[in-house]
Amino acid sequence: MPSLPSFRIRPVRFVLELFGAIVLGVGLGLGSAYLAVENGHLVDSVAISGWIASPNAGTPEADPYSAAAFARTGEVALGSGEGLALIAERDSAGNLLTGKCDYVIAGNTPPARLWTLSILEDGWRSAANPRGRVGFHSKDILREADGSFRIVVSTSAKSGNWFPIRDTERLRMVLRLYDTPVTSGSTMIELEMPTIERGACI
Amino acid sequence: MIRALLFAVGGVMLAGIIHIVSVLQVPAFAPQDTWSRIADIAPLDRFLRIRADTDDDAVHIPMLDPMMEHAVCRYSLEAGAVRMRATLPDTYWSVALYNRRGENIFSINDRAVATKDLDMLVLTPDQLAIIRENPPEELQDILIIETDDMQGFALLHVFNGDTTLTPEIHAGLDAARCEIRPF
Repeated sequence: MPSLPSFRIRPVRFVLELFGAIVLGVGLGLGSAYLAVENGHLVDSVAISGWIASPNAGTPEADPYSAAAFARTGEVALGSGEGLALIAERDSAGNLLTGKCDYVIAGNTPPARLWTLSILEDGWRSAANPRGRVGFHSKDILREADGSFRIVVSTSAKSGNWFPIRDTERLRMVLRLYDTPVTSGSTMIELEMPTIERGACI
Repeated sequence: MIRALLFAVGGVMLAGIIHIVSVLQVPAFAPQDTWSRIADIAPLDRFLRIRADTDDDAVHIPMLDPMMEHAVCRYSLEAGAVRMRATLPDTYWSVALYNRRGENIFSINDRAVATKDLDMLVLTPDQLAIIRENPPEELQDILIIETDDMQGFALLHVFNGDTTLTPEIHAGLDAARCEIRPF
């Protein structure tokens, strides 16, 4: 008869091990839940050249992580009948966006009746700038001969489409496409999105 | 060794349970969810104009487009159907309905609305059945939205690309109606 491993109960060791398992469980469980909710916007999302869209977020079909993330920030999602918001947290090279650097946003957007580009500072607030420029939109932007555009994001004045910012730690760029045929994940993969190139940094 | 491994496996399983339970509980316990923010500022059954970027935390709904003008109406269908009406300038506008949990349940933009103005009736299937028994003539020109969510809020967005339209947009939003007596 094969000998089974013996689990003779030694009270002190048992309590210590049980305690260890509970600490491990609570720590890992809460820690991973916190991290997952902090990054809840990334679950069930589509990334197109660094721009991230989550068409299901903020709807009854949302996954539990993005539902938790939305509940914490209190934000509301654009409805599919309105349009689609795409958020960039990183430049085209993959570096986090920061107000300490200049950026050039260049290229074209997917088809939409109207689009707006705005910038969020730390804490998901609209960038407050003294010049009253809160964003660009498809009807006021200066375009190149081929219809593409080029926006320079900088703390100091630039010619052309200049988006003035403050030198905050984090930046997020938000491109909203209104009345667009692009509202579901499967139609998004091949889209042409503007690139975000980093320029000089402070 | 096996014994330590068993405790480790137990710990990881406990971690999994705690992870799932706490993620699912966040919406129920988040103090700053959209409904609580809106309940603080918006009275029932009236559109209130709000700004996308404001320094006052209490009236701040994150992720509103700063290039649009917005109005919010908090509604409850307990007392009856809610009719929303607005006359807005000829620019992009849209309206979206959210349930109590802040989830988007309906949205439409100006081009998709058959009429020039917004005229929308939000009600439960039961309330619609009662109205259909004796339908008023104007019912066919009204956008009818059925929902099982008894409470929610509506957000109106109007594109303001050119500041010359600001007075007209503000007037339109201030006059926008969101009221229980529909007919």
